[in-house]
Amino acid sequence: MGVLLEVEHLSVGFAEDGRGKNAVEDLSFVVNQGEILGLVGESGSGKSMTALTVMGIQPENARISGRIVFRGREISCLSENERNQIRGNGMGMVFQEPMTSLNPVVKAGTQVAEALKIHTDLPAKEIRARTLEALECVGLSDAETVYDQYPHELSGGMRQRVMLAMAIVHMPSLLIADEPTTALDVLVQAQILGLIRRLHKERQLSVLFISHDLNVIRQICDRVLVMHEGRILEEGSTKKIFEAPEHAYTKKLVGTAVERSGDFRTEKTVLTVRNLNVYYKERRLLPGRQKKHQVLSDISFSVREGEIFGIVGESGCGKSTLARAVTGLHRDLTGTVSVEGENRPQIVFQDPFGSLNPARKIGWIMEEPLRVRKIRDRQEREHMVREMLEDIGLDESFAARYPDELSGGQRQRISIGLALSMNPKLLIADEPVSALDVTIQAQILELLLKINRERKAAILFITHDLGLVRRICHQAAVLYEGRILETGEGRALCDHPRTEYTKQLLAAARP
Amino acid sequence: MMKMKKNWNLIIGLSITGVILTAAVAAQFWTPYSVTEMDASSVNLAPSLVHLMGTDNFGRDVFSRTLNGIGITFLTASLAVAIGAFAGILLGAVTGYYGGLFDELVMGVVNMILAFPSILLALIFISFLGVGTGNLIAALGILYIPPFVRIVRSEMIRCRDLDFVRSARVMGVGTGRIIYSHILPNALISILSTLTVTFNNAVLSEAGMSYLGLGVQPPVPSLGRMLSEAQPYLGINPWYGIFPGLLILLLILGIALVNEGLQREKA
Repeated sequence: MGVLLEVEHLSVGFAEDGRGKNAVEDLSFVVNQGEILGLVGESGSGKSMTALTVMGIQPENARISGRIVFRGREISCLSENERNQIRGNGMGMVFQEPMTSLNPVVKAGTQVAEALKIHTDLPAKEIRARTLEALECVGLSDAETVYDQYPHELSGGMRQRVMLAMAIVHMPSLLIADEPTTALDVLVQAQILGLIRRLHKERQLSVLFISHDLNVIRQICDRVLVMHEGRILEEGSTKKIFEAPEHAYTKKLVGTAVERSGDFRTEKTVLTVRNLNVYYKERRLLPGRQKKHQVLSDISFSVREGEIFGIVGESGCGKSTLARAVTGLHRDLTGTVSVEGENRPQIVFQDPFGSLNPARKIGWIMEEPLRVRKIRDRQEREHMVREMLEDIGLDESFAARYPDELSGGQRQRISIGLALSMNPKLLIADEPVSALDVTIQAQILELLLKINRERKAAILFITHDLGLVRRICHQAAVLYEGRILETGEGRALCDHPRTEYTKQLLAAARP
Repeated sequence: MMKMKKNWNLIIGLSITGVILTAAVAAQFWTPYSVTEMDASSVNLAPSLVHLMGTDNFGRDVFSRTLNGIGITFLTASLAVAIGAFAGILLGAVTGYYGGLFDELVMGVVNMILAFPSILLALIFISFLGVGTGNLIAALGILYIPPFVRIVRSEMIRCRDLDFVRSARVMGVGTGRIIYSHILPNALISILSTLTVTFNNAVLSEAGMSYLGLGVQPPVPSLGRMLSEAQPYLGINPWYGIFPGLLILLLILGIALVNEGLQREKA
């Protein structure tokens, strides 16, 4: 096996970065011919910057040192024109965001054909034929139709396939895939991974695969580099990294499987949902008959005190709507939702950046539920906020900060603390960790488990991740197109799925 | 730590506005000469140590009248902007948060007002309400409602479906409090900069309307009024017109700099 790409002592820094810290620091690695090399790390670890620099499309103000050797030729010192030749012939790249990486006003086929038009002298007919071939190759069976469609007419998965077709149409020997499946649903994700693996086999394509998702890396890569703060911490075969990690950080990264310990359930029921149907009205400008759109049909389940109840499904299955119906945010429903206790269930949202008021300090935000509870004494409120901050693993200095001074994990802690301040019997966690880095995810899950343990709070845990359900939920329900497909004990549901859909979800999540 | 760069726009703007306002307030209590008393023996004099900005066609001291006139101009502009801001923020908050038919209606009217040149609309209002300082304030006040409606409304629409508002609703925070204490602070900087821009427009409009004889009535001095009175004498006594005009310019420059400074603070 020959060496295809060799990166030696690569450093990338930014001039205006006052701390003088490099995004990528003295990085050396090789990509062998015909291998899939994984580059794993959390956000800010420098993995995307590495990809952009290898591609030669790093930001203008980046300062680069080190050598990048591609097919035995030093390419980091080449002119823009020569780089373009290599980009056109030797390397292809796929980005994370299928919504923005295609030009919205150009037809899909034209975008795929672009590389051939620029880098070859082929006649138009031949270009079209090759483009169609590439589209078919990435699993778009109706290539003729897709050729003439605009990106907004395609689904997220199809767009990512078009991106792949763009990257491979000129037969590159190296494909750089930067989080190509992160923005996609679990099942579509599995299809795209299968596709990359097939291209790798059929075309002897080498792949530099970048992801923060260990599961994905484990499924597809031969060899893995672990990156942290711009440096490579550990390198080895996928098997070795996952089964016998050496570096402490890798161990933390790989061993992040948080597991529930103990059972704190009582016989009391805190939430009962019976025959719930939820509708959305279509917005209409003119008065007239309004169409109703049913999002949830005939949902029934109950949650006991101290229970962690999982709701699993892909995006669009209605799981967030369910959360809104249970909290009373959405009222257009039939059936019954009955909640025990005097306080309404509280909710923790997925996106830590939208869930805190950017114009208010943390102290004010955290006092708000106390004000709602009519605790009028200001000193008492401040005292309670300090206690809550300690409880959620932060300290009192946070009270004087604004949300934009906090990291995603810290914000999510504040959201959880906010919800807890209302003393709810039931906490609804709507994908509380999916927007966070792996190691932070573990911390937030630990916090939720601690709340479950110490406060006997029931948690309605909404997620797309069956693995998570298996590890932390007592009970779980699988939601598909607004209906519950099956309900069962968390572990049993994953180990012995009864429906075809659950089996598919499991297959996609399994390493 | 990085050293904070000095915000010169804000410093200079606040200094200019501060000096002018202090002088204007002082001039309400004491001026070197009486503001309205005429003196036939010293008509149309050029600036001198006796009369710092000269005298007008009735022999009144331009320095005293100008300083005193800033007060009237400033008060008129402030009240007009206050009316616009109060009504605009209220309307914007309600229409933006609730939406629906009321929103469509209000936005229809708002867009109609915005489609006309403001001075023309002010003329129409004055022709209905009658000439006078109070009516001028009312007319300008109505004209300045739309910009505040727009800004507050768009912030309400942006924030009402964000998770932090949802989480407040789940907590049981009342709608009034969500609008006032949760969403409105997010619009604060935009409201402040609209305040300064509208205030400048109001100063100019007051001057313009008084110049046309539709605002402040003689013998009370206002900057616009004085410009209008100075016009026939520009040939023989240019000072009479230059100084009030210069002060309008300075006042607007000061406030525009404050606005610019606030924008920089925000960034």
